[in-house]
Amino acid sequence: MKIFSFHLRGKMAHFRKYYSNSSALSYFIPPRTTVAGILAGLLGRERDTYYHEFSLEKCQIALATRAPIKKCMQKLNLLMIKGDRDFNGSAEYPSQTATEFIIPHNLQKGYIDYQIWVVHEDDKVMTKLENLIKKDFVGYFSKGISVALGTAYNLGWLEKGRLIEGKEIKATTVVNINSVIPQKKCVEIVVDEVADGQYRLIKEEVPLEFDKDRKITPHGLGNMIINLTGQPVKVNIDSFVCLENGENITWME
Amino acid sequence: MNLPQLTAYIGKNANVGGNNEFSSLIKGLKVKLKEEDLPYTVFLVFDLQNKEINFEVKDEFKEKHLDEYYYFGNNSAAAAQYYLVRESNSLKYLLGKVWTDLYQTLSRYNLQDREMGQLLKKLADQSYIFINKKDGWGINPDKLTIIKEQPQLEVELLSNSVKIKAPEQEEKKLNYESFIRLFIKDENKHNRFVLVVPVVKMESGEEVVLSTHKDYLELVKLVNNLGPSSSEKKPGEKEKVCYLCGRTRTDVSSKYSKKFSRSGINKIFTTTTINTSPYLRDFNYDYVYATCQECYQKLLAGEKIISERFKGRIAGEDVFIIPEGLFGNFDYNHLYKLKKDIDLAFQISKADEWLQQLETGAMGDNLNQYALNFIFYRSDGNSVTILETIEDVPVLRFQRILEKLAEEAFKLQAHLRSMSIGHIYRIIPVRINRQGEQLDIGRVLSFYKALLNGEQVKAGNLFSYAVEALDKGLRQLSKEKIDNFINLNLRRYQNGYEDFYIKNIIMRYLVLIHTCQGFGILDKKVFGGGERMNEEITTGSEKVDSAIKNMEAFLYRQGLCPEARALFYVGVLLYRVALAQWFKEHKKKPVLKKVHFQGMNQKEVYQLYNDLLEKLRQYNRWSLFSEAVMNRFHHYYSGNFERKWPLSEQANVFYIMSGYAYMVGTKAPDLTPEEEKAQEDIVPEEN
Repeated sequence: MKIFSFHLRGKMAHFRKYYSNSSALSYFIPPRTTVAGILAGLLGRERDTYYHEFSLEKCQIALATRAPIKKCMQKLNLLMIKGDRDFNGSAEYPSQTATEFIIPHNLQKGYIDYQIWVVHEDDKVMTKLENLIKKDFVGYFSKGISVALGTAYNLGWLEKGRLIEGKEIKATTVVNINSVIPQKKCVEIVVDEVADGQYRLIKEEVPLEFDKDRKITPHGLGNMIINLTGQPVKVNIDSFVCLENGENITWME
Repeated sequence: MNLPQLTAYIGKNANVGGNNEFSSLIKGLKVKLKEEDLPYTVFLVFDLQNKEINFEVKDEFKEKHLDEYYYFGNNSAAAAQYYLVRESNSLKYLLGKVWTDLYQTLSRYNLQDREMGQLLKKLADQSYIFINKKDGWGINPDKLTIIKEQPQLEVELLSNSVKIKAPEQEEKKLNYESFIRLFIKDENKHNRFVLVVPVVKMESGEEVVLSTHKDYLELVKLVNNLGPSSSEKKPGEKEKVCYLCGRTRTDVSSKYSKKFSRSGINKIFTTTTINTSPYLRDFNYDYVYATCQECYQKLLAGEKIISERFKGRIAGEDVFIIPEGLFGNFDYNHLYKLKKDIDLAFQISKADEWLQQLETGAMGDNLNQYALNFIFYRSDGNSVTILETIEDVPVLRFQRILEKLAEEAFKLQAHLRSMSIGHIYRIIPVRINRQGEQLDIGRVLSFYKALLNGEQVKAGNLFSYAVEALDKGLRQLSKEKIDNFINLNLRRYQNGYEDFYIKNIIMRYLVLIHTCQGFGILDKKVFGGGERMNEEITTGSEKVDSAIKNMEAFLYRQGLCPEARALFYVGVLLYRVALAQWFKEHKKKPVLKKVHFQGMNQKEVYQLYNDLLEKLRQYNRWSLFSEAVMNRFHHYYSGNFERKWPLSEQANVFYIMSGYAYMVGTKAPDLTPEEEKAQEDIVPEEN
């Protein structure tokens, strides 16, 4: 199958956990719904119109952290918005909001780097994405949005868009997986012979899919196993996609 | 970490084993009792036989009364105060609005015509209670026994007390417990009346404990969405997906989140605030986060269990410590054991004590299956603000950090007794404001996070923290009263023990920096840049030679680079002068004022060195030992101003003070007998 791959990069990110309220906690990775939002924005789709187009059934997305990342907590002075009129900043008191940011291990020198792989059943979508991102220069490429890593003030950019060949393998086997791994696909993590510092495994439940009315679907949340160091993880897994460059990935589902 | 899933999981497991459906609402008593106090449960009796309202002692208070009489605490915020059992210091509700609120709540759920509603109506008709008054008395004060016995008594209900005025006597304000005492006529102050349960004594003599009445319990269930939910789909009812269990049901809603405690863990994901509604439309909260009734009940139960069993205090802040199984199911009881051990690890003074306990404990064998989540938060009772989250720390890593700290501390055993993870909070200065809130606690929590999660730490920050701790700590110690930086445990170093403060700070930072370097989280290598002294010093004095040899061995073991070693020897001279000053009745050791704890550049260091030489002359301490130390300084310093100096200004001060710290408690070979005796007068502090 033809898979479109690109890198989403930036200095800071914030992917608000759906359940966190007055303190804005963040996921380590952009949830699948966020990636779908970025893709839809690039293609110029209207807000709340693309959920069906990027459903689990029609579109497959895999994601990997390619550089070590960490979280830091910062307090932001946000405008106290209780109605449309409050956007002019005239409200008396700002809202001090504890906000979790994703940052590279070394904020001065490093950057956040997510590699994303996409397969869409609609060839036209694939072609459009390819035309938008598969260019030699680094930038936003957007028809609709500025690419941001979560919230608008965390601007990012896209790089290294390319098509790659991949083959789906459905057999329980032990392999190195480069992407984040859905827990339900993972039979076991093979931790023998792991070099020190190679793994920093975490488990996160992230949103995967909304229905056309923007409501979560019965399969719309999934536990993902993520290695924050960006190194591949050796796992016993029941299905995966083998890429032509020898890397293996798993779709977020 | 997924907080709602974890909370629900704990709630689900906690419900196993004999708990009833109200367990998640039952609260513990807040009243603080002294050792000699004897607490009692009392009845507020509406006595229809004697036509009076009275208080009677029921029994000595026991924990089981909370369950037996269904103690749910006070309702928060503007919610209806219809709960019937109260602590005595919340008696104002029972004397006031409970009755109106209860009757109205019954009416809201169409239960007013049942037995309970009828009983309340009867009490109201016979003027025992008011069921339509919003403020003031909710019971009829004229029915109180004390007024029946003494009709001229004036009783006024205030917000936190009751005002009593007897004829020809001055009026008194009594707190609620003292008010109860008037009825019980018990003068013994150690007998405490802590829990009040309203009871109706019927004309027949039958006693009805209102809080155990089936109608009341049903009301509580309905209001709090407890008990089994109806999963049957009614016509026109829409089904939604529960964010927790993923099932499609009709009872999925965000409205349940209103019922969560305002200071509990669920407050983090309460969704009914305006900013969670799309397009600021003040609706569609369910788009953001909604649960089914069953999951809500699990969350409610989990919240209670977490508040009771998984709450701790680290670095002076509240924290939820929630262990989590990495994969698959995990054992709830095991989690509790883990949490207790982690608490201990932060409190215990010696890491090796904790490790010993760990090895002998039952938990050791399962360590690799668990990760720890720390959620540091502050709550004002109305909301919860998260200060920091430290997620997914494998217990094994935690153990390794403890081991490494113990190992590094052991290498410094001549200078430092112990070091555990809890000590880190004791060496990073944290300022407090007038309210006692810690202002820059973030630096401590961030450091814990970096260490536990293996994130990069700037070595420069550690040097800055170290010299800041010295600066702030010594300033506080020079004051009459310590009024800030309480976390540095300064009180024990008052009255002349400042040197041991310096020693403790420096040695602990040495351990910490070594530990960080050992885990590979420093942005650059700090230690490991020096070689063993290749020629021995022969001064003609064995004592001096041996002292220098010991210092060199220390520097080699610590892996200090040549520049750091040079500074170390400046510190040794500094201590020598300080000791001479101390002996000369300059107890404040004025030479320490020459050290700029904010940082010193290379020239300032050299200036300090020259000043120290001058002081040594002044105090007649230009001895063989001093010269040997100077020799070592010049050996490492090389006197080259042009060479690029590899250390930061803060690191310069740190290494100078490390020489000073090394000498504290160490006998210099050139001490005069008087100095030696004077030094012995300073009893070394326990680390």
